[in-house]
Amino acid sequence: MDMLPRTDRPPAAGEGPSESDLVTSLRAGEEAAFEAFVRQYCDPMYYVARRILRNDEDAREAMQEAFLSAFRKVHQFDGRAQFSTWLHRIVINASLKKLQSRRRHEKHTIDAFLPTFTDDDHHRIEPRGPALSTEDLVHRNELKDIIHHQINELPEIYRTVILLRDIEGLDTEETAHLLETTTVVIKTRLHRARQALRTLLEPWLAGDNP
Amino acid sequence: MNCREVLDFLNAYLDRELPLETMREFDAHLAECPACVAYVETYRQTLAALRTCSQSPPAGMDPVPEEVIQAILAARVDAIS
Repeated sequence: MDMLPRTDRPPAAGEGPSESDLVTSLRAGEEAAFEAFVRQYCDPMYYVARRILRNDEDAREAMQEAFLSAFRKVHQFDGRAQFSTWLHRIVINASLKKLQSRRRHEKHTIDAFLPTFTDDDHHRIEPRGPALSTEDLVHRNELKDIIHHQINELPEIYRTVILLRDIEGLDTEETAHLLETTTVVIKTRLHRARQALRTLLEPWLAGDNP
Repeated sequence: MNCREVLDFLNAYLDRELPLETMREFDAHLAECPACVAYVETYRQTLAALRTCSQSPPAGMDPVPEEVIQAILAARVDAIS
């Protein structure tokens, strides 16, 4: 996930500082630094939170919490990763906490979207092959919207894993740590989520254009 | 190897994490099973499509409103006062 700050947003004052200058200023507690920090990173952080939480209000609250958390913890940033990468993890963490705090009844079954087999282990329903080459497929303008819409159809525990692994780009160990589970569980959920997404995308992949 | 096993092993196959002998069994099944070939190709395309979504935020998304930025700045003032 690209967490680079938007360059077309008007800077708080003059030119936006570099990452290293910003970190130095934040650690020094400079007032103007926090505002510059918020203005430079609010858009990419909001987009990450919005993808995970799916509504504006929760995304804004998670983003606010993420900024405050980053400001409190800036002294812990050791510079081994890029600052934007560190922020990416913080906003994901804040978004996941918000997600867990929601008291919603979420369906957990994904079985309806998974392939089924006959007694002799053949496909019960013949899979449909691709109508387009992969290169042509990924250049379809509406593809991203279709993907996001279909990901939102998945049960939450599977949606979260596919978001973190395949869209936010976290590795298996990191995802397991954030979701407080094991890498084995993450791998299983990810494979089931991908299979389910393939089922949901099959009409488009097969050229039906629904 | 049967169709069910192909789908069970699919992620490991694409990540090239299967033992060599199992990879050969997987490839041998694909050579004889058009249904699994169709499935694997559309699964690969699903992964490729997901990769397009990991790019920068889509063009045209509205920037965060100024009042939200001000709310964050105010929350920080509250937190440190």
